[in-house]
Amino acid sequence: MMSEIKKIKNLKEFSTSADRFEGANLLCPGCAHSIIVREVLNATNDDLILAASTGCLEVCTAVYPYTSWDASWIHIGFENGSSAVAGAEAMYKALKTKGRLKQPERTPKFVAFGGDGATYDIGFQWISGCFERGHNMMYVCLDNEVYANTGGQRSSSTPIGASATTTPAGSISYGEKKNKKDMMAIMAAHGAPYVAQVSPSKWKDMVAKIQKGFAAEGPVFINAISACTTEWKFAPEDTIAITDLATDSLVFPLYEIINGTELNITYRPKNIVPVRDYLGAQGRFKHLFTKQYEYLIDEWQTRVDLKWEQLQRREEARV
Amino acid sequence: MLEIRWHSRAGQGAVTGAKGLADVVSTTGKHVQAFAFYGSAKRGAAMTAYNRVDDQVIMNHEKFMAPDYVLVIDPALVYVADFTAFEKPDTVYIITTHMSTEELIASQPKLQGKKVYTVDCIKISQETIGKAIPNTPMLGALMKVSGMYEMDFFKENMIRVLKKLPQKIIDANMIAIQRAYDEVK
Amino acid sequence: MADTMELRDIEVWDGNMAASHALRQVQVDVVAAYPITPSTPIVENYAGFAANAYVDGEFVMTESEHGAMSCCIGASAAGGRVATATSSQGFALMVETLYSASGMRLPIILNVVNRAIGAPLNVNGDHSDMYMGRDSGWIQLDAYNPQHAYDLNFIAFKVAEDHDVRLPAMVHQDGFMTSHTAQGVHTMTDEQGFNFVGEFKPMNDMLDLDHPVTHGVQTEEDWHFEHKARQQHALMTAVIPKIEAAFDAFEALTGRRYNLVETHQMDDAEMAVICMGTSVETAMEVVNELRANGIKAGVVGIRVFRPWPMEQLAAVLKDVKAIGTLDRSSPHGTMGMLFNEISGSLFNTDTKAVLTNYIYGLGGRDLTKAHLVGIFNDLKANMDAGKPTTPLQQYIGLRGPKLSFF
Repeated sequence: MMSEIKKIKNLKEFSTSADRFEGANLLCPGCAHSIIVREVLNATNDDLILAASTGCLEVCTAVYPYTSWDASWIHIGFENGSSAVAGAEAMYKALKTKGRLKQPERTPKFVAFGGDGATYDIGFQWISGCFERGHNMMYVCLDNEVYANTGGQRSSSTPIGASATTTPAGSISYGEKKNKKDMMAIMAAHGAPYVAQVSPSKWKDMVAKIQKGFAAEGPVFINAISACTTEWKFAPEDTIAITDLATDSLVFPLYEIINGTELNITYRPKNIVPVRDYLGAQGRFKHLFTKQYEYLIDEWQTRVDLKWEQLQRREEARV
Repeated sequence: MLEIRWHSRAGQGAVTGAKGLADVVSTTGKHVQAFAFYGSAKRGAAMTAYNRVDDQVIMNHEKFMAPDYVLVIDPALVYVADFTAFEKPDTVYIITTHMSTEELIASQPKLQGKKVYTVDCIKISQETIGKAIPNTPMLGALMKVSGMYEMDFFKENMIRVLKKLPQKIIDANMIAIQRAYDEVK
Repeated sequence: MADTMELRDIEVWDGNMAASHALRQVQVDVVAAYPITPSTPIVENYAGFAANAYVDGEFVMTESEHGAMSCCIGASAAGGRVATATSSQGFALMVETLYSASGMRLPIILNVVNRAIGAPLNVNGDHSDMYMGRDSGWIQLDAYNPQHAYDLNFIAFKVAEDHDVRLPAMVHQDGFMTSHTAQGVHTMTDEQGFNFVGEFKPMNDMLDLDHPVTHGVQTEEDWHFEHKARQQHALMTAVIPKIEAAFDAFEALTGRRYNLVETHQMDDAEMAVICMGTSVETAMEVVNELRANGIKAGVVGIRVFRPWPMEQLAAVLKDVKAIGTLDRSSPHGTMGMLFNEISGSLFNTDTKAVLTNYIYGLGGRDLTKAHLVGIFNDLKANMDAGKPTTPLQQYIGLRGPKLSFF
């Protein structure tokens, strides 16, 4: 059976698809991780072989003797979810060659999930290795811009000015000092067939991208914004609203890069929201709204404007 | 137990020579060992390789050896390496050099009173194989000096050992082995 | 189908080549590896087999040893035969994942070509990496020569993949002294070698798409202890009988006999050295020479390092009066591992042997027959005095002033 693109008509049908990721999990109320994972898994009817790096998703979904996963799933450590699924994919190829697959007519998809700590920082080498080798796999980064599982330490995805427990805001510090690492550019530079940034609040855009990713041959990188009610400090019921602010302020623009060269912007907000509104909605940026640090909000806006301009130039130039 | 120590420069093929010899000897039912001292040194560094041959299973894994034969396949090593280390009264030296045996002993007095044979494996390998790879000719010289095996038997087995090389190179090696056998003095 | 390779009855192989051929013959499904001296040739030889159609599984060259074992874990959990090789610093980098592999009960085979661990950096053979692995939950088998490196791989696959065991196994050989030393190796045909191990039988395989399985779960205080206890229980009770059965089957097939504890001239030995790797064989040769002079010396070699063959060691050492334990790894702050483990093995027995410890061979330093004769002289003095006549821990082959402790 060749895999076919799953037809999705509306949100109701999508959200009530048979779950291979159960609602019975220990994630915080309002956690975006579970929304993203459901959207990825529900985008296909194919079998799935999944991996997770150590992090919120892992510790909250596979606590013995329970599992939230109704698809094969593996976790080894913090840094190697990518390699775990790459190893499984290699075994799939080997058994296919040798005629030992139990269900040879089915073509499972291989997906690894990791947080930004596992992706931007500690697991970066392993991911780079998997992408250079060209495993047929999808890597989904659940990007909440902080080590949330261990209580909010900064990662190289934490943006400037965010207060994290290891870069706290204080009388002489505005929090994180470094700009967020451009993981999309780095992964595209591997020559991956498909690299995309997605938001769970823009579910149609996301499903289209996941399906494109599943259709591609080779390693696919998906960077998903995952608003964190606990560490970003907003009310659990505001997860989708905050996520919309991120995409509509262009702090987290939605685009894809095909074969490392062809960049397409996939979402253009009708009304672009000021970055100030996005920052102001989260406790982690509260200290920026003081006389001492207010200049950083303007810098933020300038940075976001420049990035948006650069993306548009690349899209126009087809590079 | 027959023990052989090779003095070579990394890249000249002493390890391959020692392993090739072990392979040939093994086909006669004898027990063999071939090993070398390694470091992180690159091509050109002085190094040693070793053979042990015995009728019994060889259990000894010490690197220390008092050799019966010392094979020197780089001409300069007789002046810079401790090639007489742990020699026995009857240790036999086969040395690659363009000099005659008398000239060599005159230039390196440590060899006086020793059983010394010379052969120019560098020249032979350059003229036959086209490269300074003096390992296989040295084995030809060893066959002559030691009387270990008949030349036909030895060459037949060396062809098998070298079988992954192009036929042209194998043929050149056979000529090199024969020349060293004939020319060693 | 992979091509068959015709082998001579005896091939002159070094330990690395021997291990590579064993991996080829058992038709490993996935080899994921990263090269490091002195185990690199295992990976290179295997790559050569893959490039010439002698293997038809997947060969994955990863970006690090950690990545290699991570891929091995994913591949093994997916449900197939998996192997790799490493040494030294690479082994150290792999250590985190070694615990994952055993904790997840995945029968991966790791060829460890033993090498020193820096600083200072050193590429030569000692047992530092092997010792580092000893609490990782793997079965550890030790080869003393290239023949063993070949044979023990077949034993390792057969035992590790047994559904009553399901634990990973390491096959150790001495860096350079075995890995780069060519000796005659009695071969099996490809068919014999494969049939000894047999087809891989998957269990809890991720690729059984009708039966999804969760691997590598979280357990906190409520279940972690029970998991680890079960793992230890399997290692302590299931493994030894399976290894013995595999040794028997292997002897029936090849005539070559392996034992949990290897002994040489131990029936009436008054004194013995205990060691691992190539040193065992060198010590055997020394004992033969001592025996010719009427000295009742013997050798005990550890073949199965984990699980530790405590009862078997107590049995072979029960009548010995002086024992020298030879450790090729710096214990850094205590007695050598073999001293401590042998002490523990004998403590509740009637054996009252004088026990001493020698640290030797670090970074590839030669252990000569003369050194071993010196050790036996010490043991003779200890035996005659009925107590240690030397410091409990001495260094062998060290330049400069004599170094000893306790």
